[in-house]
Amino acid sequence: MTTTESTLQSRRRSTNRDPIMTLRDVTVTFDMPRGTATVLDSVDMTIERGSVLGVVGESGSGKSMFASALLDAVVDPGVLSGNITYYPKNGDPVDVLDLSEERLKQFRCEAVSMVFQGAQNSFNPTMTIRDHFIETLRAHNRDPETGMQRARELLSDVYLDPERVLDSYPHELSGGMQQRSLIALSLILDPAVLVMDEPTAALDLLMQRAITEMISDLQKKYNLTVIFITHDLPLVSSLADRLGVMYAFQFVEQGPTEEMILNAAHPYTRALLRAVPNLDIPIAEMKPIEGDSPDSIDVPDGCAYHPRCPLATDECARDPPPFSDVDADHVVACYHWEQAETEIPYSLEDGGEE
Amino acid sequence: MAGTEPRQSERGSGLVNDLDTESAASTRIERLYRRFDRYVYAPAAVAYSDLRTRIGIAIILCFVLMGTVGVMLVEPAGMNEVPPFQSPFQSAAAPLGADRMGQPIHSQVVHATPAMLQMALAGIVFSVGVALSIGVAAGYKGGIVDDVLMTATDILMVIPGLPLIVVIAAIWQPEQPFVVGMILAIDAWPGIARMLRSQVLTIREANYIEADRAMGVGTGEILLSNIAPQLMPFVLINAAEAARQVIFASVALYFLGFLPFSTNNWGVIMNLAYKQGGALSNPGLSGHWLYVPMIALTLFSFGLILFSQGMDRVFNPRLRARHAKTVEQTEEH
Amino acid sequence: MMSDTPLLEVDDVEVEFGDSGLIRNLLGRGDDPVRAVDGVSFELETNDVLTLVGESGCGKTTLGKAAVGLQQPTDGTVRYRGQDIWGRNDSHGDLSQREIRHALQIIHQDPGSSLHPNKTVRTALATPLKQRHAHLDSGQREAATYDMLERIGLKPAGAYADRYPHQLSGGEKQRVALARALLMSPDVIFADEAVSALDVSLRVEMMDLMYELQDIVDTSFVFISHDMANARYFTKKIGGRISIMYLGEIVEIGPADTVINDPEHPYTRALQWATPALDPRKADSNSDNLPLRTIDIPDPSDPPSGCRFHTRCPEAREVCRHRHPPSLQSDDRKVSCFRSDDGHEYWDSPELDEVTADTGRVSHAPHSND
Repeated sequence: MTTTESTLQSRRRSTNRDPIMTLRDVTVTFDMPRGTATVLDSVDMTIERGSVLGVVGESGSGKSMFASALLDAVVDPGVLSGNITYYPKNGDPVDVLDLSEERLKQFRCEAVSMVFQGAQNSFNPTMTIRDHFIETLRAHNRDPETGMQRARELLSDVYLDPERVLDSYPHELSGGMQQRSLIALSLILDPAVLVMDEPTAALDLLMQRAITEMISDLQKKYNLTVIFITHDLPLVSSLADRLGVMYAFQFVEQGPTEEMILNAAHPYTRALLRAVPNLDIPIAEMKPIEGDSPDSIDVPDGCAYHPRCPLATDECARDPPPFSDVDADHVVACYHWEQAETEIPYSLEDGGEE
Repeated sequence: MAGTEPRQSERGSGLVNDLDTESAASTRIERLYRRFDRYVYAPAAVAYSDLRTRIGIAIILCFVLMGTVGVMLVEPAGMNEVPPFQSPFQSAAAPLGADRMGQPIHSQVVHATPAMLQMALAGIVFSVGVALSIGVAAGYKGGIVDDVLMTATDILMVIPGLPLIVVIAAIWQPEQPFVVGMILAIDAWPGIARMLRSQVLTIREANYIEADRAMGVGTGEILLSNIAPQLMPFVLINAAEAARQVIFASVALYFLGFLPFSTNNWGVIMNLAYKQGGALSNPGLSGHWLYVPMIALTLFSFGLILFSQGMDRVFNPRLRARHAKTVEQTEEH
Repeated sequence: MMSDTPLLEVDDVEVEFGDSGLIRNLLGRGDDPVRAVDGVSFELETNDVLTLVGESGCGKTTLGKAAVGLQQPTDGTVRYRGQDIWGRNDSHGDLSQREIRHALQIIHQDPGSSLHPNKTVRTALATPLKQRHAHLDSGQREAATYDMLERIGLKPAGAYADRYPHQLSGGEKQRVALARALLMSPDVIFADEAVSALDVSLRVEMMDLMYELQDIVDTSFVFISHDMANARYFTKKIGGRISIMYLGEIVEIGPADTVINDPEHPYTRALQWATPALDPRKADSNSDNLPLRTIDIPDPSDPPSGCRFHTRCPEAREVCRHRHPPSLQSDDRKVSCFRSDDGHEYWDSPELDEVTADTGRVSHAPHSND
């Protein structure tokens, strides 16, 4: 581990304490006929400027709702409460939930932009790619000329031929090309933060890798803060500086990527690492996680994970655990995280030979 | 591991013999109840829960009653029972007024109802029935069958409907209301057949159909148990529409005088009101002669529409699950 | 002791699509036919697994469907226990069409559309029972259904049996689809990306389930995955082979460990590079550069000449453009690449420099270490 040392050091840039967004006690609830569903539960988070945050969780863990909350775009009749603050590079902090319709529209796309899963559904099939760019530029009162110049630059940054792509309709492009066009479109207004919800979900392996590399390059070039949401842990491990693991609509662990993967503290994170198919862990060590994730209406009392956790005690069933410090930047919501290492072992050897 | 021979026991029988389940097996009664709940109760509950269906059924029932019981209770109209052109609500013998010859209008309307119902029924059966057979066969089989059937359908669709019917009616001079309905349905089925065919084309490609074919399920069963239930919403709406179309077409033809004057028909009544009573130029005198059958017509078609709209919900599995008693209420995906 | 006839034999199978009608072709407006599968052969034994890995458009789904008789090949033969499943040629078969049909089943990729939306779990599972075990009465069918539901982890069986598909999660639906296939007691199940639509944390569970239940019914799998990690897990557990497909052909096939840890074909290497490493230390040391000339796949209706991979292959040379590599044995695997043949003229052939591609990164062949 020689040359890798220096790159590891560069990963520690998360400790430079320059937040670009903070979330405090952010909660989203829905009133349903069956009861009140809590789909995001008291999220506390600080996102550092210029970093890449990976949000990892299974489907139904609340990660997409987290993305919607960041843009104050929770669908009706959901109720979003708590405090979300955005710190622009120059200017005063902005309380996102307090913005007027007009300012909110500005905020989305200009400060925080989002790329959704499934590019096909994000494009208007009757408009060319060029039309999409122009429409966005006009809607935000930008000069189309300069805007389109930037568009061309962005399109070549994502390895597309601008002239060919701009004149095409979405259905004329392959899945990978659509997704890349969508990423370029989301950057047209020069946002500071890019939120991506499973951007590589439907894509082939090679395209997936190429896009993650590309995101890393874009992040460096435009000094973006990227929030990458996925259920695929290996996908985000090389890209993210920090990881947040979600379970049952809460964050159960947050910390630097390498530390979290090599030495996860939360029992769920450890179990997840063992359950995710990858080429690094020996097959004999891989085990699925017992049980099912909870229904949003019926989340267990105390620690939401306790019915499935081998370390659970009475305390876990009664009171939700607060965040404990594992390290300077690494927090975990568990009473027994120190025993997790022995109870739920895993090792990242060269998993190939057996 | 790979390449090992199957065990001695007959392959696969381990799945169906020597069973030891934790779940209690249900008794015959429970199973019958489940079938009842699933196929009778739940659909009825869904249907009933919608106001439209309730009103629609009520209206249709009224007309059915009128056409069956009503004709026995109400005397057929005779001439000069009351003064000619008597206004409505004047006498008990003609509560809805009378026509030029003193015949009570209400009894004419009532006695025309059986014929109307027969025409509507014929219209539904023939338009939807033919459309289903042709559309489903073309859609599912594809190839030559599809080409031939759709060419025939397209030809019929292109020929203007009303003139065609007028010509056929003029040649054959049908008298039975059922036959009239049949002929009038010719205009309705091509469009429905095309629509059903495209639905079948979509469903045919579904993965669960492929799985059924892989299991060796025969075409007939696939069509009946898989494809047909998904076509029901279309079928129902189109059935109601076909009935209306047939009735209006018949009214139009009678009104215009193209069909022989031998059946009682709301259209006939309206025709007479117009021709012999001057109802349009002199509404004060004979307006009721025109409006009463018109209202009957409107009400009937309204009932059909409401019913079919309401019934559409019955085929939605999410709603059926919510209303069924033997299905637990769970999180939906 | 293995019997001489393989359970399933796919012999030089070709599947071609898009042959337009006569008139369209005459008018010059016909679609170019696409050879989704172009001359593939393999054999499958009992309790075996063959995993097909490749990008979209490589023909793996079409090949799988051809193998289980849901897609008729335009050329070549598929033989089940020695008998041509399409009943052509002079097959001395004593198996009826019905028996053959029952023995070959499928599990689809998308759990959302693999179950009929209007049928409850109970009704859906009654179909295979009625087809294959017709002698059972409704009480026995219910017992078999409950038993199977418990085996796949859907308890209490009685409650699950009455649910509609929209009341099941994706993972649960997929398990029901597996149960449905197993109740046919098939010999081969074609699992078309059966775990790809599930969350990563559920995939191991599903694959474990398939592995456990394989023993009960003695079924073999043709397993498709576009993901090397899934492929490795499943194939290694059962002890089968992985085959890499590209544009309708198998380019490398061998035991899981060999193909994954020591890939020989440049395309396999590219796929391995593309598989994200869980270990962040490994991710760093992986080269950042795409080990391919271009990222986008060529048009399948007009495949490149010679070796189909030559337009993207970093090791391609002149001869690769003109000659199509045969399948060569190399250790315990087979590779379709001239580089596996030490004496081949490939090693004397000049390197390819330019490659035309209208999108994606166009680069000169990166000089990799052999």
